[in-house]
Amino acid sequence: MILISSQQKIFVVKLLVILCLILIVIIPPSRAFNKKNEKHWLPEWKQLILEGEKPLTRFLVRLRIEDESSLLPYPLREIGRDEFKSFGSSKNILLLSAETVTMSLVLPQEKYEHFVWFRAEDMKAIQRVRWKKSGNKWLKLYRWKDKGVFRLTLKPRKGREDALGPGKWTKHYSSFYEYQLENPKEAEKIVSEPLCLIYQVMRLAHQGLKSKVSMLVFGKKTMHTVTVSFKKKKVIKIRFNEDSSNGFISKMKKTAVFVYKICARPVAGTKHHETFSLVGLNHNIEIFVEPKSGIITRIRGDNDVVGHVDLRLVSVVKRR
Amino acid sequence: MKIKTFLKYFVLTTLFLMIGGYRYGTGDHVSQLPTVIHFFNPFLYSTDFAHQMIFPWYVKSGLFICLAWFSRLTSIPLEYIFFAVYCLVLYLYIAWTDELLSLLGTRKSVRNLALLLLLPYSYLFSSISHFHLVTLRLVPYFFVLPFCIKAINIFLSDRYLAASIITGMVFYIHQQLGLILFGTLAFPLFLEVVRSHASLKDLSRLFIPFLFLFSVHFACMQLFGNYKNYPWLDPDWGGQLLQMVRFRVPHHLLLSYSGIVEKTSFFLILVITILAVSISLKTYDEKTARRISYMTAGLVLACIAGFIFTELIPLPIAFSLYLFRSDVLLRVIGFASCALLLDRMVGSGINPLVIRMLFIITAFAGLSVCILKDNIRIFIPKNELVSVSKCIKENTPISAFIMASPYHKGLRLYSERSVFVSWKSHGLFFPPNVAKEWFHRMRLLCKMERNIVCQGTPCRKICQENFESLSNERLLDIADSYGIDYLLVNKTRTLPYKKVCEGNQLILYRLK
Repeated sequence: MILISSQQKIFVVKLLVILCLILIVIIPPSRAFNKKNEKHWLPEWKQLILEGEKPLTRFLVRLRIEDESSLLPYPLREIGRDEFKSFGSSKNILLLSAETVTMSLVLPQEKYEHFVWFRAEDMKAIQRVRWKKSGNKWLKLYRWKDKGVFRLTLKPRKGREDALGPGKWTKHYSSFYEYQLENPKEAEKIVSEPLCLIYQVMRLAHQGLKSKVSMLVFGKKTMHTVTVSFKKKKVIKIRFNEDSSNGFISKMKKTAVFVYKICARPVAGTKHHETFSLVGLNHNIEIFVEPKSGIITRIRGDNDVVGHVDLRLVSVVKRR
Repeated sequence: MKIKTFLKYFVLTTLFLMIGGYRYGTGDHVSQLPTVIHFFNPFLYSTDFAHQMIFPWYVKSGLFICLAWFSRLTSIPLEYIFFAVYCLVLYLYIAWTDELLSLLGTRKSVRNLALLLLLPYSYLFSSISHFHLVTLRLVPYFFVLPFCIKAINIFLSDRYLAASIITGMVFYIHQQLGLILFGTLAFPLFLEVVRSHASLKDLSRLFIPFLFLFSVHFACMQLFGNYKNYPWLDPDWGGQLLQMVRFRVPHHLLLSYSGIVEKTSFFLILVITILAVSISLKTYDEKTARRISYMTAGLVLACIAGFIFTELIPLPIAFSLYLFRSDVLLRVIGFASCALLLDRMVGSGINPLVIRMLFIITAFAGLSVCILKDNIRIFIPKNELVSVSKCIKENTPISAFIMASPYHKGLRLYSERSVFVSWKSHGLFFPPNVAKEWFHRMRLLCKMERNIVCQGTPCRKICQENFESLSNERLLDIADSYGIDYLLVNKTRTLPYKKVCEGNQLILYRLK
């Protein structure tokens, strides 16, 4: 039998107390770890299609979200510039893309595709690709740097190149847009990208946050200060097609959504005048999102040319 | 219309359908239907060079898009709508051909016989432009053909305004045939005005509505569509087009490609028309005889111009106008003239018993064809390519870019994915850069970079053989240079890549 002295007993008790204290200290960081996991949050969908109509015109937006940052979409993998093909070692990088199509019975079709790589935890944009697929085509690659954004523009030469993919275009121009900040102290701030606002809204809704968030966003050439604010909770009726293992099935349901409003203004003193744009909408932008699934059911706002556009969900492809 | 006449046309339509047949989702549909799919889902075909043709094709595929809208609104499958419209068009073709025969003064008994003879004439007789009067599928050309006949009938009845509006409608659905029809109507009226047989007012009734509709279309296409900066009169581009046409569609555009049978048929029809007009019609109705002869002269002139400006002095505008297609309307007029000659030859008319017997024989033949042969195919047929395409559609992203043998017809339609190049969906009448790119890609896959060793349809077979003989290295080299991410090849070819879909003969590899 092992005999324990009173001094040893006191030592064991002290040890237990210390252990308990250590555990108490450890628990919050583990919660923080959970929160860190939260930053990896992905919505339930993989692809959404929203559609809006005006007389003789249709607007379509296809949103996709991927958690494989190494995934190189079609135009990028054809470009022989390796500096646009790596995204660092962070596993938190997401790829969000939006393809917008304006179809008119009278005017030619307008088609743009837009890809953004960003850090999920703080919305910091890393890279963007904008691709104009119709008319006078171009491809613009943007890389976020410490002092500004580097842009490489690719265009086809007249003639045969016009019918080829961007990888074969030989007209290249580069430019650099320095960040224009109101307050030099903001230099340390995170600079995001307009499309990241979609992810921001989904995450706010998922966390049940009804607060206001401000972000610095670099548009095409200019920095904007953007505020995402909760407007209301609403129950709406939605009708859409869902891609399931049995093919597309038509669904109709009533669901509660959070409505967020997006207000943007250019940072004072910017060189270029630029209207803020998110999936073709410029002002009074509102995003309706289902909190649990992150499904965007509606995006509405005003476009400078065609006026008010109301994009409604028509199709969902769920993450499997 | 009397119920008896309606029943007669209905029975004839059924006979035409049973013997002639019907198809969907094959032939020309494989290049026309993807535009309908793209219209409703513009995210498809994003890496397809052919997607650049989409806007002009919307104009050309307006008919199909309207039908697809109707299908969406009514939830009736598109296949059924196509079939119903095809039957309706066939009915109108028979009815309005009968009306034309009647206008020329052919007696009813002869007309009934003529309508029975129209069946083999429509499906078997193709002259120098190699277009049959009745196609097996609902295509814009066949849709407008009855309206062309109706416009001629209305014109012969001196209703110029209505004829002009119908011509405008035809033009919007099928530009080449619309312009040829307008020329067919305008030429005689213009000559009549010159010879004081008609007034300027008549001429303006025919010209103004059509020219207005034409101008709107032309202005839109010039500003936004594929007419923008198109070198209509550039002889260099004409020369290059001639080379491409020799490779892909010489049978539709080049007289030198037509064989002795086609040329003889053309001249036979011409001779019969002249004979019928000068011997029979002139004594019955001088005005109609004059118009028919002017129309015939106009159509022959168009064919001659087609020969000069495509083969001797190649001009892009002549290729775009497809002037040899005038031969189609000449065949319609030729048929009516044949019936008229027949009418004059059988003095007292044809015994109704003979016609009834012929009806019964044709009906029996129709039933036999229908039972023995799967001749009416309302749906896309089930074959190897269709089943592999279904697998491709289910297992590849919508941005997938596939390279396959250009010989395969319909991969773009069935798989709904971008395809590197195909023989069927050529881009010869699109902007020069698209046409040149199509030709360049074809030559790459057909191993004909240096010289073209064939003309027309035999090229397709040679292409297939040459594609199969391409080494794996060369094939992958081409695929790599164009950013292809999937390769569909015959199973005889083994590649060190992941297999995505596999059929009995075909296999799809994922290259990236």
